[in-house]
Amino acid sequence: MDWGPSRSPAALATRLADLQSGRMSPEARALKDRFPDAESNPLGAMSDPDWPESTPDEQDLFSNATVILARRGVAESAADKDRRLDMLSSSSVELRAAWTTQEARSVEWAGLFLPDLDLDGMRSEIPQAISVAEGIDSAAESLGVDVPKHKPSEAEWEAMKSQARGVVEISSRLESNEEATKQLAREYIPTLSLLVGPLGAARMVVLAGGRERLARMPSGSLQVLGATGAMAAHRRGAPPPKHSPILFSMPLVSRSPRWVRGKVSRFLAGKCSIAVRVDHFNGEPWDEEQIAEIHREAEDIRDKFPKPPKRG
Amino acid sequence: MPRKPILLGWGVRKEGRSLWTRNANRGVSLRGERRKRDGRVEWRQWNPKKSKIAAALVRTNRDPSELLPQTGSTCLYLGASAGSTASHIHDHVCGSGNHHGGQVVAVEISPRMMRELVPLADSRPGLVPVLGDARAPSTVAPYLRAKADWMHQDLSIADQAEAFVKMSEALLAPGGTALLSLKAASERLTEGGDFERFSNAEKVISESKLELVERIDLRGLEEQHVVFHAKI
Repeated sequence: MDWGPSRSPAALATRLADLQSGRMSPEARALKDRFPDAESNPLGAMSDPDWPESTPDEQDLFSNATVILARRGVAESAADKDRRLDMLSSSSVELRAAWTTQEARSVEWAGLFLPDLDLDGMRSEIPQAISVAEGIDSAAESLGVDVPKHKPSEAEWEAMKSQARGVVEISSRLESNEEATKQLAREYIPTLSLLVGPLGAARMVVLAGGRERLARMPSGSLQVLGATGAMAAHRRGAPPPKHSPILFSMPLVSRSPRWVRGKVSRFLAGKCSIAVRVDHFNGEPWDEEQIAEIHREAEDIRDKFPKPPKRG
Repeated sequence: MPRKPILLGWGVRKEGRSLWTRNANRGVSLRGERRKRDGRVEWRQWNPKKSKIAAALVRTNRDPSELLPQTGSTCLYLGASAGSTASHIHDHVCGSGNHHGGQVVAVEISPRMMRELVPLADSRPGLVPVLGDARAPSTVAPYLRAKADWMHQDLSIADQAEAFVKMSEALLAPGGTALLSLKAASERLTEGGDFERFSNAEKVISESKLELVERIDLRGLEEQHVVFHAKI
């Protein structure tokens, strides 16, 4: 059978993609319609010694088509929300780590020169004030403290100021990054986002290596997802971790007394596991009312054990 | 005095302890390998610490040329990653401009790795990049011109041996060589150590249609890895 005018690398690539995903070629389908009793064998061509060899032209066509198809597949990976969430969420984590160290440095640096400055009360204003001030004197003025006795040199002040600018910039970057993460998470995993918060939900999906894998995970794995250090210690004989860092970030777990954290997080992990399955397998997303009920139930578990268990 | 090189096949030779392949893309190193000229031929060094096939060639107790495909044959490489090892196989099987008419089908599931593999395939005719699941014969079959004479599987998933048996039974020609690089850390945790896991895989292979020729331990070159050499 001749293919007619559509004999191009792109057409062949489409054809190969069809075969690869288990569909029959149009010719095979035509034959199947004509001989309904015949059994199709996708691997048959390979064991047939009389199968015609391809000409050099056809070989060229084939190799061009495979490259086109591979390129298409690579481009297609941008449609994968798991990968996009991974980029967003991982970049949030990195930005937050950078922010913590740099913000602390900026505050400590200012505190070295301005001994009267209230580092705790004024903490959030310090980097901003340093980054816009003309010199250490005007920074002291805008922060409402006395002009310092020892001043940084010109070059030192420039370094300090640009470091503070970096902190301010990284704060705004972190904010927009987290906003984008939240948006994608609310759209991609709505129920889980409502239950543990969009950032935590995104982190869970990333740690599991995709929504599908998270949805197929037993809730016991979900309960300790990301607690890698504690799990490694557990394999060497330490007691098992009670919760993952994501569950611990929920006030229901972290603000509960130590002896109920395990019980609450086990309960929440079970609910998370159902929630992500609802999201992945096209279930109906839960509403706020249902989420509130789950939170109430978790509180009931907490209230049932007001006293630590007796030892012995 | 320079040692006399031993030819293991058309495009692979061993000089002392180092392995070299006849560079099919002259003047280009993939990962900064050393290149050298010998007459009109350019040889490219094949590092056994980075490639499990090269490590197996160094460590085998049998004739190393049994592990290599025939020049001009049809080869299947499952789990090609960025194609470093696949490029050396291609050197040997296809040669420059594919004048031997060989075919190396390189299957890889990760788009990130496929990104590196595509330009490689562009510069090396005969190397076929396939983005897809290396555990399903039907995703690979449309690309193979005939049953493969040689295959190598290097996946980091659980149940590698089962996938290996399935793929080689479906796609390997009678008399073909099949190599499995098994990484103990990728298998599920079972009772016992790495040794148990290797023995499990060995059992799976010997219970299939495949005939196990040798189990090659790569200790010292690649930790926690063995290469199984089988025939069908």
